[in-house]
Amino acid sequence: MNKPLAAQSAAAPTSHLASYPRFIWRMLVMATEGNWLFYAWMIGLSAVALVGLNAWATQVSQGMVVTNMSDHVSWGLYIANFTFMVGLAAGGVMMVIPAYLYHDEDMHDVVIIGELLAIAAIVMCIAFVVVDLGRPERFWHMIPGIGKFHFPISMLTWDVIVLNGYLLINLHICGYLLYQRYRGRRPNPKFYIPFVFLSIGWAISIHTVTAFLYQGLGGRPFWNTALLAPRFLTSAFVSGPAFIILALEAIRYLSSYKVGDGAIRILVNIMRVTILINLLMLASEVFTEFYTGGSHTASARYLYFGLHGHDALVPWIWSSIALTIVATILLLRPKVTKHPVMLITACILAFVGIWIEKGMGLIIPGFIPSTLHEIVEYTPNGLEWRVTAGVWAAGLIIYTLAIRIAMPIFSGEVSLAKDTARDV
Amino acid sequence: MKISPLATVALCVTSFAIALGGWWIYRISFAPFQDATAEQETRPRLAKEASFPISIVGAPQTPTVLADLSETGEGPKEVACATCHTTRSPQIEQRFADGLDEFHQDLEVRHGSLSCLSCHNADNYDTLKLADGSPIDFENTMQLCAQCHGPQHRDYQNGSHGGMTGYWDLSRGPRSRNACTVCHDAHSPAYPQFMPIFPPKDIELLKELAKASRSQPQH
Amino acid sequence: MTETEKKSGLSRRTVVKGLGATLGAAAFAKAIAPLTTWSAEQSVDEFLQKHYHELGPDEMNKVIARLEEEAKTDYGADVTISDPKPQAGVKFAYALNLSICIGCRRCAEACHKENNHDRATGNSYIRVLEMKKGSLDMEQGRVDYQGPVPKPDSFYMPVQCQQCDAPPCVDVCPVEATWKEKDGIVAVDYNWCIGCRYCEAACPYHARRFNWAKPQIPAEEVNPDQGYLSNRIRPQGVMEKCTFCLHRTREGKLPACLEACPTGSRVFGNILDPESEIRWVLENKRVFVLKEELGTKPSFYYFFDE
Repeated sequence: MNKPLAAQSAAAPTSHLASYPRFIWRMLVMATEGNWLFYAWMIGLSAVALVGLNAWATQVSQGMVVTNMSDHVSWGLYIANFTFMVGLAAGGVMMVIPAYLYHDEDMHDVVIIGELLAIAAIVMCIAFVVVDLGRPERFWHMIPGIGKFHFPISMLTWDVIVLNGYLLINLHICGYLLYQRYRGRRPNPKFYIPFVFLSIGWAISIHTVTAFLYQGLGGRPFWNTALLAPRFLTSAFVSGPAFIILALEAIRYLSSYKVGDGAIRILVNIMRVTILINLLMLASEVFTEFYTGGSHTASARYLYFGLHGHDALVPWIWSSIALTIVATILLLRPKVTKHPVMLITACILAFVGIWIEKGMGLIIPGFIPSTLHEIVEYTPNGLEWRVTAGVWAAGLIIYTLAIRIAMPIFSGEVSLAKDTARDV
Repeated sequence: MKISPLATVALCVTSFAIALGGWWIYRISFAPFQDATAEQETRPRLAKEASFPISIVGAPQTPTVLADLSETGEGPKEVACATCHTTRSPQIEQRFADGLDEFHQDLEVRHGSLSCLSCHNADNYDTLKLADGSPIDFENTMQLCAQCHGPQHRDYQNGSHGGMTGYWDLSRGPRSRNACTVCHDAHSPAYPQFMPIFPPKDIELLKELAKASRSQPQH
Repeated sequence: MTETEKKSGLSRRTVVKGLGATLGAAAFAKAIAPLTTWSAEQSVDEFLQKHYHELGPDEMNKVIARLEEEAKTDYGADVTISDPKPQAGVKFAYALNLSICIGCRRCAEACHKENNHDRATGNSYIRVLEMKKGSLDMEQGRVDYQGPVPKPDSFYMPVQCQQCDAPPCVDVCPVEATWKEKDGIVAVDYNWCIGCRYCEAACPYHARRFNWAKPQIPAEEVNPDQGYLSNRIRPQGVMEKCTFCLHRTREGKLPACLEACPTGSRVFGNILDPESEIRWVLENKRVFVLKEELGTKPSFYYFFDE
């Protein structure tokens, strides 16, 4: 079926020059194969992605006036999603800690799913930043050497480094592990274990640096709190595991692969701790804001209760708090791992709760009231939702394909030996 | 496995800390140092060297009155204040215009406790007079106003009252300034209330406007 | 599965895949259609233009010629764009007397006209706050006040770029598209800015504006006396800000907002010149700066008379 490779020797090729192109080709073939559900899912996502692409193209050509952002609320839904996706990317890899640091065998299955999630999430992060740019075609201005890279003063340059570095590290780990599995070799720890540990530190750094983007701005008291970075990390360790549990359950029900309960149990245990810490930090922030009072707390007052008759974000934040609390209660029930419906519900609630909290509940109120205390409200418009849905769809396409490719290779269903044998 | 996981984590954290520390040191020491030297290196540019003039516009002229001379068979005519005032004796007691027997009754006077002859010179109505009684021309009213409004005059002299147009750098061009009476009515000097212009456009309206105008073809 | 079945199945699948790919490509082309028309309008020279600090004199002349031509084609206006440099021994500072500002907003309008702001949005670098006497808390202020002014219980505080000596907006820019000039002006290279709006989030004074769309100005209203770093008509999708009218002030002239002020509450000058008006104000009035606690070191001072 693949002519260039059919001429290869019958034995599994040992040269990387031969086997690596073969591996890439096999991945491409797998990416376009599946059952009707796979096709329907991919076509649906592609359609949404194209709608988003079209909306973004409109935005670039007509200017960002077509969004609901303004000089008062100059970042909106895009940067809100960016912030959340950084958390998801970081949270995805934190699953590596129990697997490698504590040599927990159950977690080894999950690691690749977490790392692949990190890749998809980082791609989405970069996409969300790009769609937020007024002049995306000038991205080359940021490339060191030909452009001007304002390092180390600008935190955004730190973010560019950590996000792209994180993408490369995870691409390397996943690519290497998959390639070795495909060749039927045992991965050499020298080539990936250091990177796994690097990625753990790096995962902390991406979310810390992203929090520093906001918390370093003295003119925005709502963000200017030392609690921001720790809270980013804690909420990341809620949304990351929540998404992985959902992915694992999807794999379990939609494919023939076995997913151990052990991994899910550990993920639930992680979430039980992090979601409680997140609630504790929320309480600490709310206490500081409201017990202190004063005009520095105007954003918090606006967010939680509305200010001078403006209350567009109040339903969002209380929904977020309610969702998180219900998710906490569900997760803390001892038998949650035995009840898939309850577990899935808890994960969806936690995921949506964190999404609101990191987005509409964090980025938007930082701008309201403005630095001159003007209150201009913000609600994303249809175009912004379309672009956002498009980026999510593109991210899900990447994640689906990644899982679609990784699972058969990891289970040994697809391997170089089998491919070679079939060709003969 | 050769590399200790703890060592790797420690390495990451340390390198991150070093980079942050470097940035901080740059911020607090190096950057301000650069700014400070840049300022001290060159001699300040002095605006008043080789000075262009500062002209004061709008100083009052010696006033005239449009007199109705129909009784004499002539048309209306500009006449000097002294034309009438030499034939009439001043009403020294009067503080407000509406108490006058005739003429100037509708003039609004709201100028503290001053009366007409605080400033007008009863000996020569074509001049004004200072507090010590010495006459002063209408063109030089600033000196008259300054007798009471010292702080305002001081601020004016130092460029922080009354506005200006032209050049901040007088070595490169002239400057024009207003006389007191350009903005202040001598008889009722409080700056009047009026409607502000150019309100900030409502953000929603602004968006609609922008969208509507963009749907029109340009030029 | 026999070999024949496998082959026919594969070929059918290949056909379907090919059809899907074709349809996908067509849909993709349709989706990015607005982008293709837009990119056709963009000039290659603009795309490849170097950073302001990298442009040699000849290159700068070419850039200016191109920008002047663009102003002619896009706006029908004959404009002259200059690039005045900071003068040696000059650092600009501004002071504003809150006791005599009457809130007429003439400065905001003058800024709008001088700096070729978008007419549709009525943009201006100056926002005037009406504040209640007895409070300096901006939360008590409002910008959408109506007349008549001045109200007896209020004072008026125009806010524009404070040209900070420690500008947070400059620190955060990822591409050095904004920087501090030697005379204290925080400038923006409109042809280098990528439009991330991080500076707008970082500025504590709401001094920065984004060009949400291409500015619209009738030809007869375009101010033809333009500066490369200041009031030339900005492109879509980039940041802009007050530059103390550097195209005027670097030629020795006063800024437009000061000339428009009917009361003389605005004082401008060279802070390095001990004889200057601004120095007299700083030495003789009790001046303060906005949000001093943020450590931004503004070059814009406020004071009350008494």
